[in-house]
Amino acid sequence: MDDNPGSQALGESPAPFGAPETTLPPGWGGGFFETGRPRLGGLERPVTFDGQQTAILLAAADTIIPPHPDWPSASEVGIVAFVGRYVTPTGYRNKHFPFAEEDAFKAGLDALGPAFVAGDLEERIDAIARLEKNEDRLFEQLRALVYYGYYSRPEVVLAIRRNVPAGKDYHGPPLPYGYLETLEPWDEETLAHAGGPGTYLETDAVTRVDLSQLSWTK
Amino acid sequence: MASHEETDVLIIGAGPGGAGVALKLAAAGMRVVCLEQGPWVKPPEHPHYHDEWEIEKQRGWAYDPNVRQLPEDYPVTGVTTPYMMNNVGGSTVHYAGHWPRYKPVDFRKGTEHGLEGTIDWPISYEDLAPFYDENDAVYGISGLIGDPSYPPRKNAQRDPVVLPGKLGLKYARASRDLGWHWWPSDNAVITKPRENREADVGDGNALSGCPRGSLSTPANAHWPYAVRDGADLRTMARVETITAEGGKATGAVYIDRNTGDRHEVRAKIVVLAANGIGSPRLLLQSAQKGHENGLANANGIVGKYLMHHVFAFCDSWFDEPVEGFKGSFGAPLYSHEFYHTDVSRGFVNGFGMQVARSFGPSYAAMGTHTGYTAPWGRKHREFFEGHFANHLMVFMFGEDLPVETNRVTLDPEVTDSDGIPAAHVDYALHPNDIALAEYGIERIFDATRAVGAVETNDTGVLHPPPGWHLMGTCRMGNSPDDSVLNKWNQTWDLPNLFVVDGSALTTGAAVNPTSTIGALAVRCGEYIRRRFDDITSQRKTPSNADAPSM
Repeated sequence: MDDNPGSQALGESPAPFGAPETTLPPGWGGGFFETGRPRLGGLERPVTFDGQQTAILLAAADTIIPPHPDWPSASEVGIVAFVGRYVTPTGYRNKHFPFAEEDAFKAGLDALGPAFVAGDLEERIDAIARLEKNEDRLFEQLRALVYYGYYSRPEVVLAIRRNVPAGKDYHGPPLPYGYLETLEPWDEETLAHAGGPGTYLETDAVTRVDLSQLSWTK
Repeated sequence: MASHEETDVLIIGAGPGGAGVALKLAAAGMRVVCLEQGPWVKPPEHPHYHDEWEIEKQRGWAYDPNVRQLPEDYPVTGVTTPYMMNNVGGSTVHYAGHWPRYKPVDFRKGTEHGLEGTIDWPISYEDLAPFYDENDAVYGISGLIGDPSYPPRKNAQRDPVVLPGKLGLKYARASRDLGWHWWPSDNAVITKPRENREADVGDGNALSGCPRGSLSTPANAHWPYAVRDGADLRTMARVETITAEGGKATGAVYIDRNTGDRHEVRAKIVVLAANGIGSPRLLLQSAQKGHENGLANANGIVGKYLMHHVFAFCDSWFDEPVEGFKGSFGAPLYSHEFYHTDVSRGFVNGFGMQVARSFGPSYAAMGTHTGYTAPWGRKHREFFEGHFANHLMVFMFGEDLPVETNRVTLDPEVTDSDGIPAAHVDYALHPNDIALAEYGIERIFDATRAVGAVETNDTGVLHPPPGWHLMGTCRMGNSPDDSVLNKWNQTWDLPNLFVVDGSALTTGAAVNPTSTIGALAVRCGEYIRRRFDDITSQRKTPSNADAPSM
């Protein structure tokens, strides 16, 4: 931490999602809330992964949400590109969900290693379960990225419409379409019961209640 | 800062409080300057058209500024999750828009029980009723007139009520079967188009705002018209100090966040409307000669009696579609069956049951509102197919007592990006709040089980509560002994300094506060318009009895 934060230059390089390369610590007239907004859709130029990291991410996705004949596989819907858009690049402040910093995130993937990719489902489940049991931050990051990523993909939205009765009208992004045409209106029979026994106290009718009955004072 | 500007009325904050006053005064031809530390939020900045709309709710559209960390936000430390936004329109830019009013009894809670810091309001429901109607017409409110749990409101304008969908019809049926009160909600959602605003299409994502303008906020209902009438709305203008001299407010010094330059605006009247955390923060931050404890704080009450409401989230799942991803926020209906105090339950005050919408499939997988995260691995798909959109969430939403030690202070160490001290919050639930909420959770599940809920999960009584509602920290009251403001929102210490936002609310009732904040703003604006000369000639703030009438 620089003792003289005024010597640091803010904003000299572009901030990809509101995380400048250099920054002031909290309490020094900055440190957070300093500049920039997280870009909708994540990074314009995503973090990239090498071949082994990519294979590990795909295998992890298929472990967290296992393949099923009625559904697109998690490894087949562009999940690696999604993850790359939501990981904080090296050198930038890691200030937005899911708080996955590139170097630490990649180190976690590397630690799973080639054995994770080569292993069968049981072995991969064991490896992820170990991360969960050890409260490894990688577990929550992976689960969040796979859940948010998988269920955001258009081909998965189509599968929801096919496979889940309650989701037959779900169309992904809320707009432009909305749901007006498939929402049930109030009907007269239901509205006939609206109000029920509802009443209100007039202003002048308000009087002191019996406070001796309060349970929490005893 | 060699020079300064002058205006009639300086308003700090462009949310419901500031906008309500600005629109009224600009329309009357008065010179109005409004300083807003944030920007306009433009339609493409909302996530509604993006495949990634759900993860974005955790990022730039996170409710909590401490998580969101946008440049216009400031840190709020302590025990709190303050769901505020800092931009034109204030926190309404991400609110549900549920639009209930206070009931008459809510203005008389001092008489009813007087527990902790509870006092009567200095005004009654009847005093505020015409301003509720006027305010509703400005915003654009949908709903159905006739709820017997409220006084009649024959002059209130309403767009047609939002559609309930399967979710709304289900909880209405549950309430009916149990013989409970329920009523279709008033919502700050337009169902007929207005100038520059599209009618709602039931897209269900108002908690990230609405790029169509269907959600009624000061950003679309007030500011375009106030600016047309001559109001000078300055965005990116962060107030550093409210200035005072000779027992009166003189204006404010602000930092232009685009340039870093400081400017001074002097005004005959200053209206502070920076929300229930921001307003006490600014008053405390404005300590100066003659006001060593902060402005308007001679009695030490500024920042005290913070209320958030007491909350629990109650999830129920059914073995049939509920389709909570559809439909307009705020709420399709509410039940006020347990609204009024019934001491035989062991507590005072009451709660509303506010039926909420759900979001999309990621929300279902990540655990909805109660942390019930879908299992990963072999059981994932079965869980997902059984839970997504079979889900109904009800807010247990109760009135919390105003407690002196629940308060906003200045953080001694943390600052915002301009070096202004962060707000610090101390908040603890009162035993009455907890007793009320625990009772309420059970009643909600009585209802959902009655109509076939097969699984339930709840958060328990949330601590800290979700800070959607920031109330009571500069409250209106009856004398300088019990409050910060008189019955016209004038600070007791400085007659030409007004506070009009959630901090002015004397008690919190068990309803969302924005319609009441808006009504108070209209009333305050009308008072300033009519009594400008009286106010500016006052050397001391009059008592409620002596203050000139409207």
